[in-house]
Amino acid sequence: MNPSKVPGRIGLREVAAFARGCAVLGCGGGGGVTLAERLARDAVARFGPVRVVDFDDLAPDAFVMPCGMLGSPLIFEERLPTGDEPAELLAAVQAAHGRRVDALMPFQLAGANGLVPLAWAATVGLPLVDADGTGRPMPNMATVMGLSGVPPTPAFVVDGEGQRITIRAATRDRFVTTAFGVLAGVGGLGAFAFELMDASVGRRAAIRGTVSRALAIGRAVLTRRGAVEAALPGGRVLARGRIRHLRHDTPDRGKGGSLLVEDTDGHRLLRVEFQDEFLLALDGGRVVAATPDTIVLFDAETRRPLLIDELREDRFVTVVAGDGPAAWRTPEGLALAGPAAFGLDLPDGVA
Amino acid sequence: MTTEAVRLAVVAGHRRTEAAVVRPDGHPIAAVEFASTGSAVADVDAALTQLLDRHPAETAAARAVVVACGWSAAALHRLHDLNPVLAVRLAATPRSAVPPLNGWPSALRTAVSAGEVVVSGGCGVDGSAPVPLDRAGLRAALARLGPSASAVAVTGTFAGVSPDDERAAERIAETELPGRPVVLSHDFGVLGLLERENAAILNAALTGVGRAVTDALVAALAEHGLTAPCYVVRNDGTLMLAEHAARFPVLTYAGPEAAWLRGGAVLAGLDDALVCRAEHTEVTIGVAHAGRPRVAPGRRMLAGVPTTVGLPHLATVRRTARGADAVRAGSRSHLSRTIERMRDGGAPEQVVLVGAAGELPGVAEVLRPRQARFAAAVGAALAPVGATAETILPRSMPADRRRDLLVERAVELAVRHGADLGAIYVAELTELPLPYLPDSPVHARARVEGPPQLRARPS
Repeated sequence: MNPSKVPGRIGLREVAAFARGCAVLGCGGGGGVTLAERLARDAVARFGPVRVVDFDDLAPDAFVMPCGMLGSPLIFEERLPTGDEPAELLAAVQAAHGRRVDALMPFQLAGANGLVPLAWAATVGLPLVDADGTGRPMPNMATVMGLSGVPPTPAFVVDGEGQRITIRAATRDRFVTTAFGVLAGVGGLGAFAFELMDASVGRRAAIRGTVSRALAIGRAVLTRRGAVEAALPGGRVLARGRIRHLRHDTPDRGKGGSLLVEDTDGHRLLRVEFQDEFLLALDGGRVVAATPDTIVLFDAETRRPLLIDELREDRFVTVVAGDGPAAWRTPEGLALAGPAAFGLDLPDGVA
Repeated sequence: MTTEAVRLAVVAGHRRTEAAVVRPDGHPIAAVEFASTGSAVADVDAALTQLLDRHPAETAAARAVVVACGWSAAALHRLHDLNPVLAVRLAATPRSAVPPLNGWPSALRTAVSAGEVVVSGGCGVDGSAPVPLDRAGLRAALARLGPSASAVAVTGTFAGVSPDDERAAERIAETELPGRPVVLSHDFGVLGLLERENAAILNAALTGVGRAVTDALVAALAEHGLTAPCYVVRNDGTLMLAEHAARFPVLTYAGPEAAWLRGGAVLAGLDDALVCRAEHTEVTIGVAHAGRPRVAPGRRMLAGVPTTVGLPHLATVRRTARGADAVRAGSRSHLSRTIERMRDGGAPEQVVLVGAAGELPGVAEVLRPRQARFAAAVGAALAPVGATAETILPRSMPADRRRDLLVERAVELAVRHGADLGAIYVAELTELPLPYLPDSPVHARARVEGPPQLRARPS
């Protein structure tokens, strides 16, 4: 897939639309974008616009750093970054690899993690690659680069307060286990860079054109011109109606829940299942969208995509879905990003 | 003379002041109204004078006095009477990409800032302290920046989980800067340090005028010979003793609006209603849900700054003064569209009309209850005292212990707010697991309510 148009740069005028696009791709999770949008706006205002480049614009041996925050958005919003994170990450990478980073890339262009690399790219004066590794929030650091066999380590964790940790792991599983151990050690939140790669590798391993897409989605939402679903690949409206029967699992049972949207066109009920993000939509018992698809609930009054903890019964919403990245559509991909990865037991082939 | 437990309420709104002595069933037995002057104290004083003049027996029988005024909103909008505030943040590291007052509108920032400082302190999501509170650093900052500050706002990382460092900082500030009000962020919520910090700083900026207005109101009641306890209406439509409210001005910011939202529902005999307050120049639309004002969705902006302070969800449609019919045709569709949009947000179908203007052009099936002119006074008079406690608790704690702990805190707070201990009930109890944390701690919140303590029945 080759992107039709690379936006060229993201300046102050583009930050709001990009943030709204990231919020849409967050699928109800990934953390609110408010703080990350502020960081991006402050960084762009202070250091200037960020150049957005396609992999093809980079030399084949250009060194690309997928990066973002890992851990709880709640801790992000409470502890707040120091601003030293990108410089610390670059210093750690340089020390381990002995080479300079040429461009940053969001490892997960969804929610806050779409905007954080933008703020960092502005801060360190490097371009941002028009690509990402997930297309929606994913657990356990799963990315399509990992599917393609890009080695995750050496990986780098910094906390912005002077702690720098380099992880070298024998296998991907052990990398993930170690990364979460390190995360606990830095207080539940860290700035991460992993799966560093040459542009020639990124060209085939990453999901391309996603920064442009987030901008297009955000513009469609903010300008009220054109339907949001038109900006999503395979975009479609699943239902428009009021939220009924919103149920969160009790804390002692699980961390998810479900809701019904009563469509205004009659008696149709759309059922949406969620955990940290929206995962599954059923219409009359039929699966109409499932992770890794994009599933978003827009508030009809404000046109904002709702986070799961912002859901309220009786609110009027538009439920929109889009096709997930093709790279996840292999058996190996679905094992990481499909319904079964979240404990949703669907018949084979449905998702 | 009535022997019922009547309450007296004065609501000094933006344009109109209404005051009434209200029976427990919601019926006003005495009422007055006049155009507001813009001075809350003068309006309340005038209302008491008029009530005592026209209905002396009913007024003197009041066993609680409730006021709702928009003075804190006025002070913030006009940027007058604001205290210079020293903002102290307690965090693991003194560097921050987002220091206090980041992103504030510059005029507000100029009016409020007496200095910002970050010193070591605060805790983690589990309440553990990664760094000790830097007492010496705090004392030095207070000595350096204190002289230009009239109030101090202290915000600690995860203060909603453990307020220990905020409380320790408060003691130090009270020693170093005696007589200066100290505001702590954990009184304004749990999640989101910046929003909590902004709420604490705005509140601190209003404590000077808050104290002055409250003292003047209490003095006015005493001068009129009213000895009943005095309450103030909060943003959520519940009450707090005036003495306590003086310390929390941002929590009474939208008291008048909360009062008419509650009053509209009460007078219509409904729990849920879309309440429109029509005055001659504008129509304001809000939602009562379970008898309480519904909070606006999305970011909680106050004076252009994101905060944790929940305000009633309101939309205002202006009526212009040009030829009445022409204007009605124009603003009618705007009004209907605004009502439709509120319904999209989950507002109920039934429209209740309150306020001075008796009609709502272009809107079908409007319920106009009797005494709708005095909806704000009725809503204020009948409101219960309320208190909310929230925190983050480990999921490993048994569910009933989480509940007991939180309800106990809320009840203790409600008694301090002036609730009658024997009649407090739990109005809402919510628990939400927090996403993306390994052991999913729970954000738990309890809201309790109870009737206000009344002046003893005259023997």
